[in-house]
Amino acid sequence: MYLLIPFIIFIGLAGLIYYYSLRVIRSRQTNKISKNYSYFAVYVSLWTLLPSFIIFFIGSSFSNNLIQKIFLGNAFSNQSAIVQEVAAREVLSIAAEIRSGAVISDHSVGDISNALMVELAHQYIHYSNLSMIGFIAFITILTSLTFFLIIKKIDFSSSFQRKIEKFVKNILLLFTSIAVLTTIGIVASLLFETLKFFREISIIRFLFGTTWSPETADFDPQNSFGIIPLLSGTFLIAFISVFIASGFGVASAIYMSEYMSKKMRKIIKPLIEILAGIPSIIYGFFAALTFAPFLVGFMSGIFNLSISSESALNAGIVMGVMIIPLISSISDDILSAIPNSMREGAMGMGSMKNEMIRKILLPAALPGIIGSILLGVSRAVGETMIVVMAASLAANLTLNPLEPVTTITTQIVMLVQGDQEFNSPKTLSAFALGFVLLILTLLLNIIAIQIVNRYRRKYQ
Amino acid sequence: MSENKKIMVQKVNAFYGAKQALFDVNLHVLEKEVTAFIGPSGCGKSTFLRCLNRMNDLIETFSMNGSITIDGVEITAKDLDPVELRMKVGMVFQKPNPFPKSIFENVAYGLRIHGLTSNKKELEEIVKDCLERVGLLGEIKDRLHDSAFGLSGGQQQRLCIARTIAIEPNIILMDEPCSALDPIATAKIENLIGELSSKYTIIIVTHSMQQAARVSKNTAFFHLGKLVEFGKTKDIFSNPKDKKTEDYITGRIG
Repeated sequence: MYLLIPFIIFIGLAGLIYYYSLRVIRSRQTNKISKNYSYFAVYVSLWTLLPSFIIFFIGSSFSNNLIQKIFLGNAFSNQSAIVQEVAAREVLSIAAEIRSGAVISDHSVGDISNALMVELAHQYIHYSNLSMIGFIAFITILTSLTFFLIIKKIDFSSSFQRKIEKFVKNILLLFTSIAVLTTIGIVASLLFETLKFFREISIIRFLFGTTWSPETADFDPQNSFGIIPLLSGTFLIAFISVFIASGFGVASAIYMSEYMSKKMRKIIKPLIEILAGIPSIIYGFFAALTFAPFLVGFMSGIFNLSISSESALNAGIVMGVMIIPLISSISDDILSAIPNSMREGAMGMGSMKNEMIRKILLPAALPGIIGSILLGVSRAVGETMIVVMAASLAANLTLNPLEPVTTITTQIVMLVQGDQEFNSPKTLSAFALGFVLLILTLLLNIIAIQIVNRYRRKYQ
Repeated sequence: MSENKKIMVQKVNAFYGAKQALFDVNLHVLEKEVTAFIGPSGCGKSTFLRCLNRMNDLIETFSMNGSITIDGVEITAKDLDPVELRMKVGMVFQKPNPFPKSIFENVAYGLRIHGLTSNKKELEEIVKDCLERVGLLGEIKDRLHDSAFGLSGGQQQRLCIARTIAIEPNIILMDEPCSALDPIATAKIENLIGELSSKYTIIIVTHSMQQAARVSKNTAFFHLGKLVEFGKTKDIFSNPKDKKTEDYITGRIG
């Protein structure tokens, strides 16, 4: 509601400007095609509203902050700093409740009564409404001024289609660069916090340490953050899952693209792709609650092996099932993209179907299949939910799939869960782990692209 | 010249789903001669050609009836293994379709899958001999182990012929083998067909009547799924019996 009013006003203003621009150009122009009229109107509207829009949003958020600081700061000036902060937050939430028409709950803070808080909230709303009205008035005047200025200065003989094209292009560029900048920002903040971590913990001990025990960080921080057990755990689980997923995935891709009738394929392929849409948390509790007990019973019953219920094998197998659709779907697309002339050529030479697939289709599709498998690896390394639920927290350095292991992602979840101090090595280590994870997946992707390109150059 | 009837075709009807593509086709193909199938697009000549090595089996909706015998053996029989048939009846396609392998491996492919030689030296000799016979060896002898995709269109098509003759078929089917090639490459392929005809029975589907006239001894003219006229090429082109054939070869239909 609160932001809806200015929004409606903006739309109204846009409509008015559009309408008047049309009138202006109709009265001035006689030799232009009429299509150009509306482009002119859009162009004028865009340029008139853009500055006001930017000023409005920057200004109103800024003024809200200002009101909060001055008004609420004065109201509780006799209280301690912490109470001031809490009380100010409470007043804002009362204001939100009043605005949304909800029942106002009790918000008394320390010796400040609820009635006073509500009173303050009403005053706050009053002030912020006033500032909003002031802003809207200011914006309306500003918009009108810009409008008349533009109408006066604008060159009526130019082509507005082209100008709008340019405008739209720049807007798109803006959005694209925001997305790119956000990514860069995330990586930069990750890097920054990671560097902070390495200021306290030696990078050598982090990368080559064989003990991971953040809980002992307070006594022996240098020897508590060794990433090796996490890396071995991560790759053990990823290896098991990709091993399973690539076998099943490629086999089902071959069956779907080469053997299945078109009708069946139309039904089966979406079914397999649905597997990819199952949220990983469901795989997670399937792994933890259904598959783990089964695997323990199976292993001890058939092979007489003792296996932990949080074993790498358990998490790896279930994760493999999750990755099957990724690999089978991409591999199927790649096999289907091989031109039919290749199949006919091979069959025309008297190949059996399996010879044709093994000797012609698979080599041709290999780069793509390897690419899909590496994507699977990258997915497995970064996968979180399944391992949080099904893998262990114990950072064992082992390559035995029957033993519990932990992964980078599991540990990050553990480190940033609940209350934490921002500058303790324990919290910062999460950033370092995240950074390693990022580098790993980046490397995997680069390798995947390299392999794919090498094969491409060879056969095209 | 022997007048040995290599392929006998009787009352062949072919269907794609419910749509009939061939109507009651009867003809014979003489051994070690070049027979051309001509006719406008969609007339069924390619469909018919692909009946001769059962390539249509790969199409889900295809069905046919009638009798086709090669050397007296019924090839439409259900229990006949199309894999063995295709060893004897090689095929060259419209667009050159080399395998994504090296030039050498392309020719060696058939020899390897059929186990025709286990001797590495012999394999190499056969491959080189086949490339020599299609006139490719001189052009690419330093590039034997490069990708076949690096060859020009005409070279690729000759490579496809080389890999077909490598497994020593009796019959070679060619489905518009020059339609994707330039005139010089086409001339080379046509010469090659002439040379090969001394050893193989060749059937060529073509859109170009000049090509049919140049390379073939016998010609069959198809129109709308029916075999309209079949006879000696020189007769068909100089003295067509059917009005439709005359219209087609003089450019009035098709």
